[in-house]
Amino acid sequence: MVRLKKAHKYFIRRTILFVIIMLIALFINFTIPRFAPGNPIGTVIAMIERQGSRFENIQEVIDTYETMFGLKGSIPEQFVRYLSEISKGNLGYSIRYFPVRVSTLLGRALPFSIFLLGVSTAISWALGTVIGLFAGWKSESRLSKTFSYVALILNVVPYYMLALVLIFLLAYVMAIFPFGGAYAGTLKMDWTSIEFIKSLLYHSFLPSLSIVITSLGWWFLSIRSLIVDLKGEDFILLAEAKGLKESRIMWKHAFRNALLPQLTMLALSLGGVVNGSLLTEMIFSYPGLGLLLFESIATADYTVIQGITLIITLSVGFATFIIDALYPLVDPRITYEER
Amino acid sequence: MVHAGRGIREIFRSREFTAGFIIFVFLVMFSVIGSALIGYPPMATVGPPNLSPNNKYLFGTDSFGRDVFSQILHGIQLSLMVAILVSAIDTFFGSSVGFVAGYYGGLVDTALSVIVDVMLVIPLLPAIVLITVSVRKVELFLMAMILGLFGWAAPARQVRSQTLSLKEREFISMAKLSGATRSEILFIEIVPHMLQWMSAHYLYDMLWAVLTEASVEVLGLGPQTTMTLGMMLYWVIRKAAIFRNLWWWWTTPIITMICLFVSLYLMHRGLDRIVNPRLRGRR
Amino acid sequence: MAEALLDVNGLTTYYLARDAPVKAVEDVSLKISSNEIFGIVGESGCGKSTLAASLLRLLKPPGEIISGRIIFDGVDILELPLKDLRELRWSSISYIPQGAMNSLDPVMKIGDQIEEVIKVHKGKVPKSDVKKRIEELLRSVGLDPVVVNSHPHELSGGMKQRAIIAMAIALSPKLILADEPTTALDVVVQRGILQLLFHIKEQLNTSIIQITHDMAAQAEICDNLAVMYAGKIVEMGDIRKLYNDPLHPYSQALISSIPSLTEEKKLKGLSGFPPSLKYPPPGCRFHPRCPQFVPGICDKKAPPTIDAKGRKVACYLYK
Repeated sequence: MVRLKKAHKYFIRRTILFVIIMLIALFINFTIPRFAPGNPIGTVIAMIERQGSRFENIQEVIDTYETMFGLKGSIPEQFVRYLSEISKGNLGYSIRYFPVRVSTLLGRALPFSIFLLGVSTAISWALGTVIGLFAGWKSESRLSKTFSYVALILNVVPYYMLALVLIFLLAYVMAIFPFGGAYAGTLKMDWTSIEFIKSLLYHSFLPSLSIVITSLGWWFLSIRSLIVDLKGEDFILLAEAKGLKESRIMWKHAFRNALLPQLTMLALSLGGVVNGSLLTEMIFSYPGLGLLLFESIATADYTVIQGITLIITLSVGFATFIIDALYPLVDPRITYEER
Repeated sequence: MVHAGRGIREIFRSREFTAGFIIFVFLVMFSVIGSALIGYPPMATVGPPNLSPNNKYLFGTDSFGRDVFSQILHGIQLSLMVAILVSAIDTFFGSSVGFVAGYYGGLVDTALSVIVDVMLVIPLLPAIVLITVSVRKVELFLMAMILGLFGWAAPARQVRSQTLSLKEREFISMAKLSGATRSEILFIEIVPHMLQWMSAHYLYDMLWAVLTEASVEVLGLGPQTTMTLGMMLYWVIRKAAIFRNLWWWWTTPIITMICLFVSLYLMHRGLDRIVNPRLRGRR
Repeated sequence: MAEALLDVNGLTTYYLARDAPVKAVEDVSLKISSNEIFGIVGESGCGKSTLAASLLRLLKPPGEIISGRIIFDGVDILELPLKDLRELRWSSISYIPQGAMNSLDPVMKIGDQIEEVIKVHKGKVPKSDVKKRIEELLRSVGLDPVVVNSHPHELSGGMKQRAIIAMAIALSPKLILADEPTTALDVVVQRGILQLLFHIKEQLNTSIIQITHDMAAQAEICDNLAVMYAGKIVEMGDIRKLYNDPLHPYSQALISSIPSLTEEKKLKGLSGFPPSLKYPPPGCRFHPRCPQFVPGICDKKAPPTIDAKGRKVACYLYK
């Protein structure tokens, strides 16, 4: 009973902190583009005029657009309206593709990003963890040491660099894989068609590969050092004294103890993974958030950039918060003391 | 001072650090001596575009007719300058904030911690993108400032927890018992620890700065008036250099950057092992 | 005299190093019969833990058994193929390592850890039988069976120790190696553990080797005692005889260092420090600290182990 109370206090404290932090982050996200030079309204009007329309009452038009883009009133007023609009799911309109809504653009790009990111990270983590487990367990072997050196180097190579090299090798020189895109241009986006799925996987292979290879090293190194440390622990010695087979000791005792920190590391590195994959998408013209970001930068489409930043901030922040809050529950050793 | 001499010798005993250091020095020498000898202005159109390496242009020319070799040399210097500047800001400012938060505790600590947590939550790339886009004209110095703005939170947090744990340690209580004043404790006991840690972190920050700067530039948000390594990659992508088989243009910045990253990383790890005795026994 | 349960003959274990090996255990021989508690006593670093680990071949590199024979129940442990060794471990000889508190897997429940030994050694046993057996074991060591579902960090030091003992007797082994079973526990808990060990010997007909530096703990329950110094056994025999009349100068120093509640005793310590096991002193390893050192004899060759007054001693003072 006493334990539950402490847990509640901890959880509430984390939640309050999270909300405050999110609000501040959102405010910053919101304010910055407003200091940007240039006039989004002017751009939109110019675009429409270029298409041949004429405006009778220009002031009325400007007013309407200002309301649409949420530019009326003082900054605090705008922020409050901004927050309420966001909670309704209205992220505004793209400046470049007006009147397409930002949420539409994001909605189109998000599934691709999640697919690429999710699959690549899962593969990379699983592969890196298993290889690292063996490397850590047999840490004296030369193979293990060689792998470590390679992993160390890979660790610092950014995803996009490897992406460029892979494009060169596999797409240009060997022409096995396509240069970019998410699926063949001739196909329609149809999640039920086998052709489409095949094409999707084929096109995702290279971007996925570059993410997997470069992030592999990180998982490998972290579990390797965990296992090396664990190997010397008393309970591993006792497991051996119990007459257990080596594979059983490695999996059921060493691995299980290393799993939790390794999973936490996965959860906490979400931010970095997201950053890296954005650039990879850009290089492969993969229609996820990364490419959208790149294009919006080139066309100065502030609202879209803001929308992307918002989504990433919210999701990464939320994920980190969940992990922070739930971790004590999962690890039987941690108590709810102040960190 | 005797400490420093002994310390330097010990640092070089670390194989990792020495390896990184050698690569680093090589890059610096290469860049400095190279630009003294060759010295084409990196941004100037000096010859016909898309030339493969030859006697006149050691690394060939890019699609604008600029000398790739000079761009590399110049780019190394720029990256390092930005890295040093950013790390200086981050490490000093961050450490000070972290230290104040940890040492004085209470309301000061809570307030500062909230700010630090906010900075940590904001996703790096989109935010930097947002700022640089809003500012439109990005110069290198501005880039360094922005990077510095985002990088100080991590050291702040670390220093804070280090300070907190140091506060509890026995030798502080001993000092207090022996009648030392607050500032005496500060300078004699805590600061040397901090300095050690800060120097290891400085290298890590440099690495972070170079990596982040490159990422931002590859997106096209870098300075337009000087050519940095990251911007080279940006133009490589824009001009589809890979598909036009302009290998000298895209391999050279990648190799240079990897050398830079690896050298900084090795040096950091080497120092980290020494500063963090917990890690020393392991292999 | 019944045949020995454990017969160690000339066991030598070194830790190999680049310059010179650490000679942790040098030519150690001892015999243990069934239903006996055998103590091994000595200062920290005298090689007793290495000896224990060697018995079950649990040495980690760079430790290596150089020579000797360990005959258990007629079988030489050192010659056993791995598969048979693993079978022997825990079912015939179990081990309570030093720092037993950390020997429990932090992420596994106590019940599961005990179940593991049963499952691995006895194969398919019906779940209800296993459950009953575990509860029985826990009760026999004085623990409430509800700890079956607890994790190690939820238990106190004494409780963890008992849990490990419960695990150690789970397969009714013939021999238990207990390395410092009561160190790091408070005195009251210590007594309880010692009594438990004694009870186990009596009821389960299990022999126990108790390794500790605590002379008082040995006195409580041991039948025979071996005194170890710098990797060698200097005296060995019936514990009562040893305590009342220690032969080897080192044993004498140890005995005289035990405070007594009944008589006024001057506590005498030993001067000097235990020697380096890398470059041990020539001849008798104790001679630099021995109050009865005879130059020319004690520093030449290591003294042989001989029988004297019903015990074994390795000292030139005796013939």
